[in-house]
Amino acid sequence: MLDTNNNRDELIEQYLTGTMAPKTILAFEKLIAKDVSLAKDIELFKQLSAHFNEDYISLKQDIDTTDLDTYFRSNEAKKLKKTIENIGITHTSKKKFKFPVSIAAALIGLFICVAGYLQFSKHNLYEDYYTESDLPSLVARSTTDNLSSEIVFAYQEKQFSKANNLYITYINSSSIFNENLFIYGGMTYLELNEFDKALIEFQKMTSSNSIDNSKGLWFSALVYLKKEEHILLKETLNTIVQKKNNFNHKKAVSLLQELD
Amino acid sequence: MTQLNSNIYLKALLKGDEKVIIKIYNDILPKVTSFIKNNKGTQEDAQEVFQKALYQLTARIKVRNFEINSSFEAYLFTACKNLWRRELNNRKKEVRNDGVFELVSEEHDNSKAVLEQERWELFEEKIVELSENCRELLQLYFKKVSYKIIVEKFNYANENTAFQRVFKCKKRLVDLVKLDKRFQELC
Repeated sequence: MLDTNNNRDELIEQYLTGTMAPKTILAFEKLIAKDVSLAKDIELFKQLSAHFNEDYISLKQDIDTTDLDTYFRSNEAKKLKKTIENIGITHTSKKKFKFPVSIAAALIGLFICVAGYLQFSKHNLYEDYYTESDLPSLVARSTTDNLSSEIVFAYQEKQFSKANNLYITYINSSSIFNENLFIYGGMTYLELNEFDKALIEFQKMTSSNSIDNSKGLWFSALVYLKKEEHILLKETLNTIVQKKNNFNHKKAVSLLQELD
Repeated sequence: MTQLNSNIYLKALLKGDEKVIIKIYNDILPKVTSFIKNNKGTQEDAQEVFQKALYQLTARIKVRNFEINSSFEAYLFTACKNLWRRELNNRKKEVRNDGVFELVSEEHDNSKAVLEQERWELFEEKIVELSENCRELLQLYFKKVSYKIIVEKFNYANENTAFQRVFKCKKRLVDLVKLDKRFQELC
């Protein structure tokens, strides 16, 4: 029988972080089924974890929404909804109407300083299309894989040389490899402006058996974008847009439009 | 955005005051659009999320006696970010075809989103009440950063010290949340 009186929080921690022994898990789950307060603590822990990680977690099933449901069904609410939506439609069409004026302004700008504009635009495109949230999440607290955590941490801290050295050590020493690390490896090279090496790592991701292997294509496109190799960039983007489930398909379509 | 008192926006929104709603669109939608386009979304997604956030806000004013303590812009932007996160999660579920889909009416879905935003605010308020050290520590802990790195970053004597410190901070946060009257309803 598990004793949760003295080490309740530690047991919750072990259970949720996957460090609990399989035998103990069964006993602990029996306890959760019986102990409402323990189940509630575990739920709260999961919700806090999602909050800190900016993940989504739904509400508990039995939550009372009667008052809100009644409001949303009321005519008053429906009328307000219509008003908000109608203003949205007008707002969008006004913006569309203004579009040719914006183009004219941009063209004038282009004639004034073509070279400067292009440099600025290319720089901005990379800034616009690279977002850290596209990087895979792979940090584990397991003591057996500290090095991968260190790579990610150094990268997030923008210590790119350190992250790169750690990555090289990792690929030379680890027998188990998480393919998502190719992305971090490639990004460390890209941040250090070692474009060819970055492409090699992203190519490894593309050729891997990972379910996310199309991420390799997107990150290769980012290399070409930063390097300003527009022909190869367009080729890579055209490959991405061929399949809707490729990573960042919509972004690839949008970037192609901007380049055209 | 010209800073009107946040609660003036709330009253105007509830009245369906078109002038104020247009101002809200003009001032805040571009920022929301930029965020959503940078996070796997489109212009249309941004418009939809923005409208939902405004609509759900009317329910909070009407049913939940809600008042904004920060700026209206900051509130609405955060609500849109949270709604977008929710939408992305739903889309991910659809792609993976996870489990059985719950058939939820639009009204009930809006109600749930309102309460999820309230839960988000409850957690944020309690996190702010922690010491800066605890906040940083819990950020790393929940992001599953190894204790080895936590030891290095905070100059702790060893991993056991880090573990104890994380443990205390976590307990403090949990206690703060549980002491709040909203806990029973929302968590």
